[in-house]
Amino acid sequence: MHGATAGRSTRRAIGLLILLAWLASNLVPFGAARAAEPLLFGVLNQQTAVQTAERWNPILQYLSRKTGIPLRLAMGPTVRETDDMMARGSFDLLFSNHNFQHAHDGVYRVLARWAGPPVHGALVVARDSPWRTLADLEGRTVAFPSTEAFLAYVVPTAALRAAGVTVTARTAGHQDGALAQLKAGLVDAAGVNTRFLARYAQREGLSYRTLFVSEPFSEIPVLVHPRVADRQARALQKALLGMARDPEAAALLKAVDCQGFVAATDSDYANVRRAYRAITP
Amino acid sequence: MIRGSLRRRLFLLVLLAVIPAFVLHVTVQVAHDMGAAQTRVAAASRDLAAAITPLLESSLVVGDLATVQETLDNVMGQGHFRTLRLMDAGGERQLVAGHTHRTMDGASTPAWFTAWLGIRFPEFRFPVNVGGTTYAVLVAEPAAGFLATDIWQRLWTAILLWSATLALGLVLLDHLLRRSLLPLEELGKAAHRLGEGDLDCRAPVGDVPELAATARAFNRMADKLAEANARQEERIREATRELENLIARIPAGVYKMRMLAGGGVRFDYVSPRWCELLELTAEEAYREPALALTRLHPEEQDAFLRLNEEAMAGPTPLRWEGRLREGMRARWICIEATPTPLDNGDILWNGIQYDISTTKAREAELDQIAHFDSLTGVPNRVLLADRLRQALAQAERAETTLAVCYLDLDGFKPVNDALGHEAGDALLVEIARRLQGAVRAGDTVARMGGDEFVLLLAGMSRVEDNDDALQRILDAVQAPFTMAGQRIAVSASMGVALHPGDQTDPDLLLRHADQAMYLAKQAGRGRFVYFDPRMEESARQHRILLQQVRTGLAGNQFELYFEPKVNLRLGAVAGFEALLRWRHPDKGLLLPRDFLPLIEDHELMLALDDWVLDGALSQLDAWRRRGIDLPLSVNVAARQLLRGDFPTRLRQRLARHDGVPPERLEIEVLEAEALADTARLAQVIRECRQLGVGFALDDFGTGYSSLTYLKQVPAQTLKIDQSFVRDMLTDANDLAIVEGVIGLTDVFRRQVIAEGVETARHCALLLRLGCELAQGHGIARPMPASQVDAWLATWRPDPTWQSAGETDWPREELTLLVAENNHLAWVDALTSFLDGHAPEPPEDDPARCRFGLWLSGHGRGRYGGLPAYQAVGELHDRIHELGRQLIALAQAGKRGEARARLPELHGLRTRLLDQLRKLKDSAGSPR
Repeated sequence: MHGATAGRSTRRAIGLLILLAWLASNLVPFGAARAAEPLLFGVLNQQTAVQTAERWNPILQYLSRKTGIPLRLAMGPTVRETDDMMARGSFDLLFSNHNFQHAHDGVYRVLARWAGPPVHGALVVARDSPWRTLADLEGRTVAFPSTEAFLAYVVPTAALRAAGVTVTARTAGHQDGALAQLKAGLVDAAGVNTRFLARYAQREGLSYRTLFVSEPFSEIPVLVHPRVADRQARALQKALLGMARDPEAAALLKAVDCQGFVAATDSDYANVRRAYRAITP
Repeated sequence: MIRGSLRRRLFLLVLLAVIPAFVLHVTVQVAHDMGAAQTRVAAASRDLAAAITPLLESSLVVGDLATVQETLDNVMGQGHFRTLRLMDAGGERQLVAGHTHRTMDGASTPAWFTAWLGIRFPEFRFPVNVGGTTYAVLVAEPAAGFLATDIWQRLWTAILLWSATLALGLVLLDHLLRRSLLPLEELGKAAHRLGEGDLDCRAPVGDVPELAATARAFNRMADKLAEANARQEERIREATRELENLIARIPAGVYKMRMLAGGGVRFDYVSPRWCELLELTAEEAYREPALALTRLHPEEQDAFLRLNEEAMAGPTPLRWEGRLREGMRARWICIEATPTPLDNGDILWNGIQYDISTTKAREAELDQIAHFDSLTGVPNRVLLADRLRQALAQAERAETTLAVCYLDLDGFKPVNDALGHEAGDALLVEIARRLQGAVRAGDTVARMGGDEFVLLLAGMSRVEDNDDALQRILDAVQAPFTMAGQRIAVSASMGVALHPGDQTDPDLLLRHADQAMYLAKQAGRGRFVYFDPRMEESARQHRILLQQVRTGLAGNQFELYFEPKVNLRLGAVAGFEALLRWRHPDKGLLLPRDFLPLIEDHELMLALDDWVLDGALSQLDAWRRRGIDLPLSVNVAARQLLRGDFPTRLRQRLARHDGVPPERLEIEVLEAEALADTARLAQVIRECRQLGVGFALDDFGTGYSSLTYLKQVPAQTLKIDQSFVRDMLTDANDLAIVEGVIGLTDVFRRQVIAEGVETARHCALLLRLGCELAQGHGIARPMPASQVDAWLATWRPDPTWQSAGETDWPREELTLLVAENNHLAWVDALTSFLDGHAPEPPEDDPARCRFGLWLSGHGRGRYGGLPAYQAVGELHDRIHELGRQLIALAQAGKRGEARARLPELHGLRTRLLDQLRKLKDSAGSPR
């Protein structure tokens, strides 16, 4: 009798403990989540998402480690979706130059820029093709990575328009795709970013002829949304700018083929604004 | 145990052997397959999951879970995974779960099988890392379905293979068995046929050695069996022949009959004796069984069938005795049979039947003896009791009258004695025949014994009918018989008790009828008397009387009176007749007629006779002592005389009174009684006469006086019955009888004495007729012994006897005397009427009065030619004329006036008598 009653009481006590433990385990993460909500770091779709993540996740991990600010990579499946996210202000931080389009300009502020020499947009044809000038491309089919690509589409299209040449544009998704189509002879010409062009030609053995090369444009900046606290923005800026010199980041930068970030200002991107306006008045 | 045919048993055995092997094989195979497949599938699944992971990276990076979903669904669609889930980086929250509409699991494998296999793979977890960041964890559980399906298919393959092998094996086995067992079946069929009685059937030997041996053994057995059977049949035939011989020898017919369930009957066997009894041939009985029933008497058939039904309902054995149809040799048969219900609903009757005609005839004879009187053939006392009960019941039912008549013959004994037993018997037979002829068909005539009969007359509705019928019966008895050449006549007394009205108790009714019969006897015989409840009283009185007689004998209440007998011619006392008197304490002095008829059939009568005899002898003794030497006669009943020892006893009595000369004693026997057993009576009389005792036949003329009789009976004296003597003066017939009797005594040289002499005229006439001895009131009344001496001293004869005796009445003219007396009687009757002493006047018609009848008949014949005859006629007419006037006067109330004219009548009478004398005288003289 006595033993049975004691056993029942014990079991009740254990049941109560289990309940409390469950509640605790569910409540604690809520608090923690709220305390450490990461800032969303948008990245323009220059590469495939996986390639993007493989490059940017180590960088963001480094920055979080350095600043104590949690960061998380965010991007849309395509440039258009990423741009829409940008337009909606979804990103706290952003690696893109599409904000300089007239419609979106003036929200994000430049924090730093990808280190490296200036880049150019170009129109290339196969080396064995008969076309020598932009005018030769009249009525021809030209492959572009996408209509959102600044150096590969906006800049070459502005040049074609300026030359009064009308072409049939075909989007290939990304730089490599446009060049692959050119190489396969599916299109007559391709609009590309010169940095990618060199790397692709070297890798794939593409022989090409450049019909147009643009003025130099600064590498893509890291932008910050005005809602991010200045302290955090400065801490992040400092960490970005310090990466190239930080031995801790050296291996990382090497792995992601990055030379670090350098200081930049809004005025560094005036020609970008001009180019956008040339095609979208 | 396995049941059924050999084939079935073998099949089952094979199955029992194969199925465990099969199950073992499959189990081992499945276990092996599962082990191998589990390893294989686990590895493949891991590889596949690892291959999927990169596909998810780009979508996860851009947060495109839709694509992730699609990817997982696609993978799931291939059916390699049971579950495929994407959890968040911490592995706690499920982001996406792959699912598919295709269900590879159990697509062709029943769920129970998969469940039974119980294959479970561990979950594999693959983190999705991009650029060092874990985006999610892919959790995959390989699907068992493929594996189960694989095993299921392999299992089926095994089952099919095994089944095919088994089926082939069984088919082959079946074939082998069929081939091998065929002879066995043949043997079985042959055995069956043998069992059914086909002893010629043999089994084919066949080519299977083991079975061939069996078949040969079977055939040998069949041969033996056939031989044994033949011997058995022979024995049975022999036994049957013997049995049939036996059956033929027993007097009973034997049969075996079947009442078919579907209706109808059939004989299985009928013995020759059976056929003989029913006068059927066996063929007829077998062909048309219903014929047997028609052999029974039509009135018996229903009862027989009913008995059959009852017996079958039992079932109980049946025993039936009944008649056969008219005209068959056997009249009665007895059937004893036992019904046995058979399984098929038939009822089998085993029975015998035998002729019981002889037994029945004997029974009927015994019945006749037991219930019918052997002499007359009419029902006896026993059957009467039965008939009476039936008749009473019938009368009560039909509400009709039943008359119970007790009939006793009057004067039968004398006839019996006179003519012998044989004649008596013949008379009884004739009486019975007449009685039967006198009653109606349904009535009963029974003989109670002796000369007593009882008649049951049913359905009388009116007393008059009864009276007529009863009178007819008496008339039938009274009609004269001719027996042994003699005409004899008896009468009967009959007592009648009626139901309803009287008792319902048969015995009581009979007793009442008996009592009434006694009354009829007392009332004068030859008549019937209805029982009256008062008779009960009478019967009681009878019993009382008998008791009183006994008491009287003991108490000396009886005494003897003595009536003198005189010789008319000599004017002397000739003797006395002792007469019994009973000085009754209440009723005073009683004459024999007051009590003797009531006890004459009783033993007391003998005692009285003895007493009388003793008294008479004592009296003779007393007289002798006083010097009176006169004969004394006593009346003794014939029955007393016929008692074997009467002469002896008489001798002893005489010896006791040794002073009394035996010749002074005379014994008077009633002529009618003396008729009984004449031969013996004659012997007794002769013996008594040797002692010296005289004998007289009393009341002579009332019996069947015949010459033969008179010749046989050696009585010295005949006593003319007083009835004839008394009326001889006025009745020519009586006169003729008296004259005749006197004549007989002359011829047979016997003494004659007349009783009942009342007047001197009687005495004168008797003297004239030649009878000298007489007794009667006209001479002296009976007197006590004490007065005898005085009477003897004072008595003087009447002188008129002699004068009358001297009157010259020729014998031939005696009828004239009778006529004269008739006329005198007529005048006396008229005078008596006018005096008011008689209620009715005498006949007033001169042609119809007794005198007138004589005048126109015998008178005219004898005297018609004489002148006085004319005068007599005229005077007679005048007397009647005057008589009529006087009667008229008297009837007009003028008796005085009528009486005043009597002298006138007497004058005419005197003149008539004168004329009659003239007639006598004229007739006497030659014309």
